[in-house]
Amino acid sequence: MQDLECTILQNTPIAQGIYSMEVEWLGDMPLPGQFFHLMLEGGLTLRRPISVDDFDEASRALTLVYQVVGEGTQQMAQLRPGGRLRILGPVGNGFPSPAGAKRGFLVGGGIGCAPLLYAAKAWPEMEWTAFLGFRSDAFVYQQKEFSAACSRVVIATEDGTVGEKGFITAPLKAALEIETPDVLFACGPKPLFSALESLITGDLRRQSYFSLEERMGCGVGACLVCNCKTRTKQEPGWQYRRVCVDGPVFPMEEVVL
Amino acid sequence: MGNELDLSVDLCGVRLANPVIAASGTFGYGREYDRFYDIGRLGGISVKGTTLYPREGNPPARIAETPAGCLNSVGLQNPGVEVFLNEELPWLLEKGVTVIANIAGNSMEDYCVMAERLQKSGVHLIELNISCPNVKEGGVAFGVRPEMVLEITRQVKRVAVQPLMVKLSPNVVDIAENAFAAQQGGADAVSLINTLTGMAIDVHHRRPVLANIVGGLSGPAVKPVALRMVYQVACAVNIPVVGMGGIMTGEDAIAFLLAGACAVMVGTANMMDPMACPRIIDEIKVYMQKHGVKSVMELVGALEME
Repeated sequence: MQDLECTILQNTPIAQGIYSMEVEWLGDMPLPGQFFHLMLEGGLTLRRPISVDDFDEASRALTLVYQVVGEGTQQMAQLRPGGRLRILGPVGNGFPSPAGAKRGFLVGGGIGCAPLLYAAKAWPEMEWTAFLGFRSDAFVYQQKEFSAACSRVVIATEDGTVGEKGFITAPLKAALEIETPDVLFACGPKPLFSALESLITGDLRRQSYFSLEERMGCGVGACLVCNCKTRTKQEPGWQYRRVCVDGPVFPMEEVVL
Repeated sequence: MGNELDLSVDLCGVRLANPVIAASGTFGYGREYDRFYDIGRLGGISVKGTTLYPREGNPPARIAETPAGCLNSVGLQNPGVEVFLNEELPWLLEKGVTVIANIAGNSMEDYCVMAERLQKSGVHLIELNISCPNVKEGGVAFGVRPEMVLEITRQVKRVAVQPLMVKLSPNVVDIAENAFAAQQGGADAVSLINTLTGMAIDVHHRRPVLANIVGGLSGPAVKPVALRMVYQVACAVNIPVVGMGGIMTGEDAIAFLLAGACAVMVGTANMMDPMACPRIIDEIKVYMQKHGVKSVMELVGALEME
């Protein structure tokens, strides 16, 4: 983990309220499912944690895809190529390596789709099917990139303007009735996780992983503000884990929603 | 001018290598930041507030960004004193850093039992976190009324083997009066300020941001309040004062020394910059070199008035 000032290579909107920023990252190579903790200016106290969407080892270009939701991300959207950005990372445990597996499902909702792209690219030997849900065509992003990295991409939009109409869980449910992947990685809003919790059955339950998020402080595991409840076998049956360093990826069966 | 800058501080007979101590709460038990630098470089570390039994802490969300600061409502999550003694302390002592055990409780007994458990532990100082609610007094924090500050200090002082530093709450009528009460109770030092109670509201969802509704405000926003309180407390007591509250730079630290603190604690700054503490130590050296200060003790209480 390093805290480095990086040169911004690109920063462009790729969908409504969604930006893709590329910075030159000269530190440790990030793993899929990890994130970076971004320092901003103008008196904003806390860093912003953003998942790794992609990393090119040759060019050292780190792609961070983020949604503008508040002051910090608004500021990020104004950053220009040639500018500098201080980032801490890579942070987190990342997705577990699907060693020995052949087929995997990637399930994303909205901005949650971003870290799944890097997972697909990091393990190209896997047959990935990506299930990506968005609100409408205005919010769909990186369709081409997912198509290049995955064997199959299924898109659903709530209003049906792209792909299937409705939530992504419907085509996912249909797919799970025909086939069982060896592993499933999911990232998105809490309702998506709740739906998956009910949808996923059998052995796949033990091979499903959720990438969580929580408001963060230090990002290094010291301050304990980003804790989330997880199930344990020992009494009292749950404990708090740090989303920053114990996560952000947790086995589905451990996640308390 | 000689190259020898003396940054050492004597705090109740304990020698600190320099006046920069990692504040309790944002630093855990030191392991995470030791990945960035050797924490043995610090003047000291005040560990995460430790209670008799493990505490889970509050449900999320536990943090809210505020102008030039943040609110936290972690709720004193910690593994309990036994885990501290068996699993964290040995490593810390091996690092050679001065260890301040920050202890918290919900009854006078809790604190006394903790102090007793620490007697043979090897920690160098005890910091008494009295911003906790006293369940026997309807949940009012120990640090609110001067009479209670005096009483809890007196009780723990009877049991504690190490020098006792009382960490004062700023959410009080007159912090100087409370500091004096701690001194009367036998405190060897006082540290201040703990966090200011605050609140944040999410207007889009019309809800408090923190699950706990209220939390503790820290960061640069509190610095003027902290400085004023350190100044007032230093005037009111003759025991050492350790100052904290929004220190981000060496110059911030110097301001607290001038106000009367003999050492400072750095907390929130670590969240913004993992290298905050060693950077602040270096910045103090730069100030000393620039102003011809040979020993950091020259700065303590050296505020010049008309």
